[in-house]
Amino acid sequence: MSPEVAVTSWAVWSAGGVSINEAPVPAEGRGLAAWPNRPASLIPQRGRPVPASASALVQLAQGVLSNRRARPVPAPPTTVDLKLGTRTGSEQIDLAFLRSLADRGEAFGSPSLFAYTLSTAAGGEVSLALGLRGALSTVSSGEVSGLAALVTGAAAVASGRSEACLCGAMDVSGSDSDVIALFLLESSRPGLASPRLVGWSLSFDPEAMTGPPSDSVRSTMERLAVALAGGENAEIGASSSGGHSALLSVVPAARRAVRPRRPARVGRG
Amino acid sequence: MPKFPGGKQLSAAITAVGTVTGHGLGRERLFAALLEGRSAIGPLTRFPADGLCSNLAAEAPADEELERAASTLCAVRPEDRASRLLLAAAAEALVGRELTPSPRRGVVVGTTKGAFEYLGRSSGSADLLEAPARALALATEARGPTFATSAACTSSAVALGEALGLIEDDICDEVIVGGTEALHAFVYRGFHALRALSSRPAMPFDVERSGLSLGEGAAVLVLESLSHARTNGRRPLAVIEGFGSSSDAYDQVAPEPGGRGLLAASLRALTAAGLTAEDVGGYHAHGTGTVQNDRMEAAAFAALFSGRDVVVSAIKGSLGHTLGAGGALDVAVCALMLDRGTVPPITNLKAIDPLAQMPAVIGKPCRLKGDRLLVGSAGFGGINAALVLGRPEVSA
Repeated sequence: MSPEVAVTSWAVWSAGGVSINEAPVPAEGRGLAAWPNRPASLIPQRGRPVPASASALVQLAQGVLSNRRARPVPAPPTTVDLKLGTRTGSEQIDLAFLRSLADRGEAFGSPSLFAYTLSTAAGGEVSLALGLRGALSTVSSGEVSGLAALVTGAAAVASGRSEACLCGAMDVSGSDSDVIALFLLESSRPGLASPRLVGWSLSFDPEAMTGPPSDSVRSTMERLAVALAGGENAEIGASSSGGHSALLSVVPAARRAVRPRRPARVGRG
Repeated sequence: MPKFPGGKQLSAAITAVGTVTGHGLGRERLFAALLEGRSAIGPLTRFPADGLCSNLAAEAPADEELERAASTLCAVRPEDRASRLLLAAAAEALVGRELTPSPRRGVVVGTTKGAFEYLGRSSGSADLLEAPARALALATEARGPTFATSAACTSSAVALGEALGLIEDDICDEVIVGGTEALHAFVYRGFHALRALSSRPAMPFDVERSGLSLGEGAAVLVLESLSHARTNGRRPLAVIEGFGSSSDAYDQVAPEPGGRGLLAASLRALTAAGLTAEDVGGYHAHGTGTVQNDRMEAAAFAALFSGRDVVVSAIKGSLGHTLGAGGALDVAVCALMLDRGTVPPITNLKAIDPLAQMPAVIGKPCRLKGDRLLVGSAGFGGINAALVLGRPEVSA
């Protein structure tokens, strides 16, 4: 089993804008910033409206997959899994479907809207638009949901259960913690110059956390992107208000990996 | 295609099972009903269905009964029904076990709507999707990885795949895996909007079937490394040998008619197990009772088994479609099938659809041929999952 996983491309979309393979721009604000020079939609017209958040995910996934920056660039993976961490899931679409029932009558809900009342529906649009035929799922564990997707995705790539995993987070509810973030994980191999994940863990302890956490899904994803762009060893840790903790250890592309000590208890990063 | 350094995925033992379904509390009630071909699908009582194309569902016991059952396990009193269902199932699975806090015990729970009662107020210590997993972790003193998985109707099959990974990677000695789904008017009206509900109890693969019936329920399985089960003197009911998943990349709702996605997931699960379709004696179908699902599944079956006499079972004619709980309930029933060597008939199946031809078990139970089952699962968004289960004697 390879103890390392290469991060060959990443992107973060938040109120600060879109950043691909670089550190995100810090910014206050609610919702997602507009995509700069946004190209035409990648989603084929199929006669039903696709939620804006799903379109955004497709856009970002295309950006990540077309900007793999490892040197030398490895052959494209044949099977890419997609795993997103989320706290809110499809909550906004759920509320919209409820409104449609209230407006149109209980027996006249919109079937096209109902199809998006699953947390994996946006990922399904990525699969449809980009032809991804790997596994697709979301994981949820409070504020560390995004890191949990990275941890389980990294473990799957390292063990050979997954050839490549596009993982990250998607929480879009019009709040200041809105984020879409994607990190392409591939097996690390000798000679491949790319930032790597060299350690990861998840744990749960309801007594370890008191009071509200300072982290959100967005802040953990942005900190990870900063670490990947920064060229330094880094540990990205976070805990949730519900007692979940997660830790990722990152080493830069050009340096020899030094495995960080794995702490017994994950603290806030 | 993923590659396993050791040639195959590490197996894990299913050492305990607990269920709550429309047949009530407990796996024995469930399995007895399946053997008799009885259906729990009946008139809907939990909310009005005026003007909808069906008024049927398989409802689980009332909250008070669930809370009574769960109280034998823990003092946790969840606010949501999905967590109540889950804890009642966990109480059965974990009866007699001493649970002390352990970082080597994980919890993974599959669900599509989770604690739906929390909709619009996901800002406290537990979120809508994650709340049942957190409740189960609190109830079982788990200190290892704890999270919810959601992957449409394959949610809890995916949870089992994640749990298998935690054991394979030596992160956990045991993982309490669950699937749970409560029946909500929201979902019922959504399936009505899709015209997917049948006005009669679901009849998977039957020539006269006209759609699915919704159900609710939960299953909890204790998954352990084989060495941990052995050390603790626990006899596995069955062993999970491999997991695979895939996406159709075809449509948000309809499955790819040729079953290529389900076939890919099945082949990945068999590869992970170091096996081929020749090693499998039974196929446990997703079997929703919709024309699209049944024919897709028959196409995948034909491509995988090439005319072999592999018995086909399914439970949604008896329990209804329990959505995110479906995968875990399927695997729970398959573990019992392997343990007892008997395959129940498909409830409400009388005459098989000529366009969904499979050697389905009709009318009465039959003996299981061989030592392994393939369990198929398919969901909206074209998500597919498959698991290979074996008898402990051949898999361990």
